[in-house]
Amino acid sequence: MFENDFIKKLEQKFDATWPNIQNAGLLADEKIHKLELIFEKESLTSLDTSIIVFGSIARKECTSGSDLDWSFIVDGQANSKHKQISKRIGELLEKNKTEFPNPNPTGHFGGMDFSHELIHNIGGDYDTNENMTRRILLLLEPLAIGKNDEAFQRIITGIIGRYLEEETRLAAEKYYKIPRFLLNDIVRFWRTMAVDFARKQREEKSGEKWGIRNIKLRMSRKLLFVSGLLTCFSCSKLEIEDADKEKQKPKLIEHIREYVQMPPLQVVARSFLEDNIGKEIAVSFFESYDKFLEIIHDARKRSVLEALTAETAKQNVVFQEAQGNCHRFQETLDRLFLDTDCYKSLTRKYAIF
Amino acid sequence: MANIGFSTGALARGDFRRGLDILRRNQIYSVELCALRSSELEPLIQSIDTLGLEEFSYVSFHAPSKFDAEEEWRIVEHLGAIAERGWNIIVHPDSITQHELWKQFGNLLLIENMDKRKPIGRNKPELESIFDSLPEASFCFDIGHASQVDPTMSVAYTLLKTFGDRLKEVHISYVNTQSGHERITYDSILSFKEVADLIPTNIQVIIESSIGESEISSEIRSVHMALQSQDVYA
Repeated sequence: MFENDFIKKLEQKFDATWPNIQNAGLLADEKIHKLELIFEKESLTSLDTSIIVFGSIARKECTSGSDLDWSFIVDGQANSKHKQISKRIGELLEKNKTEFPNPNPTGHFGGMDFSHELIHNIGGDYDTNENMTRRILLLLEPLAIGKNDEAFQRIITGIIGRYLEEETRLAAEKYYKIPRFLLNDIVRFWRTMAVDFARKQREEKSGEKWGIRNIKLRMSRKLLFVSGLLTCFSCSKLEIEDADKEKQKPKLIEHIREYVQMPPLQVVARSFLEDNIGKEIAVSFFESYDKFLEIIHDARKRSVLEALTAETAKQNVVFQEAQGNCHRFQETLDRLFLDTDCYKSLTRKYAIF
Repeated sequence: MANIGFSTGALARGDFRRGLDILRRNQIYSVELCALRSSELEPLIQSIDTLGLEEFSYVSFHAPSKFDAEEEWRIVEHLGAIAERGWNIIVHPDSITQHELWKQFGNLLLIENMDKRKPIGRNKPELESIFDSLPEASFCFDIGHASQVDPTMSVAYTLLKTFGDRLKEVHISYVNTQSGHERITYDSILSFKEVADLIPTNIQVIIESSIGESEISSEIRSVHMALQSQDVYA
């Protein structure tokens, strides 16, 4: 499990257990180890390149139906052979497709990404939906596979640094400001996911997989937004040590870098511990997320959800169970962000207007 | 394929005895003794008779890569002891300032092509001017450097075509953007294969990848895949 396990600490604090979260973490660790073995023997990466996985495995929320989103990221000299490495990664995963089902063909991942596009094209005409998604997922649910994570580390540092460069001030008296440019992009990403969910139903035949996508949007996708918000909010608790903006930046970069490399549930648990979130909200949050993982880990329930369309879902017992859980999750988030003293003013100031 | 050996610096940086021990444990008897830092030169040369090198079928010597012009004569003097043994001496062309001093080594002096950080010795015109000054010198082809300078391998091709008749040793590793020598990667195997047929099979190959002892066999396997017709991870 995660080296500094804040979920475990939260369980201890509130005398609670969330077994499905724990099991999903263990399953993710097993899968990550297998991936390392698959890739390691072929020396596919170097100091200039890394293999990154995203999705439930990277979030340490692996369930029986988890597929694998990945990217071969390059921060180095242009080389036409990079395409062949990317192809080889695909071949190796194809050989192991029972264990690691292919990414959704309409999804964003399963190819190459380059540092320059990720770092320089933030906002503006060249920041396509795909580029924005890749960039934000690199910050919200990335995991580098294998020993060579230097390129990945440089890229995420570069992206965070780029966001902070655009801030006119980093400090607000004794503490850091919320990094608004980064936060706005995380908000944009969340809204884009929600809009794209609607688009997919219109463009794909008969609204296939509507049930599972709907539940994931309301739980795991929403969790990414929550962890992104909490990461940004956490900056406001960080003390300023230097008056000069350029000297303030490294500490903030390091702080954000530490957060973005934690699985989202760990970010939430850490924030709950550090901000003294009460038992009722904390337990409700993790119980509902634990329930979500239990439902989608159940192969029968998952296949039922996968088969549901918007029209058939409402009458379905499994969907009703999952939907009820989503409502509980949402109510908990409403209380967390709109009622608690530590977050309500930040939410009003930064997350809405 | 000819013998494959290792640079002592790749296996144990700054500790040639440990590098040699690792090679013996792994029954590898081709070695390039590495004195890349000038401070390593004297201790290494003074120890040579005690290193048990008679077990090795091939020994070459990498001269320091950086030294002052005032130090140059002293370095050349020390390297005389290496030349007396008939061992090849590999030198970076950008470190030489007084070519006349080095002429005495004749074809035992191997000029290595450089990575992209270096101002000279990276490509055909730059190496031609060096060989003009050292007409008897031989060539050490660093395939990783050539690939870093030009990933299309056109520079590698041109170097081998132009200086192939001088070729006496090949250095192999993956050279990253920061010019570090890493494990041979999948893409470097694909690149190296493109010029492998221009390297005669009897040429000594020295692995410069910075690796641990446990990675030796897989690195040798990568070299075979890169320089022979063996399929890549068949």
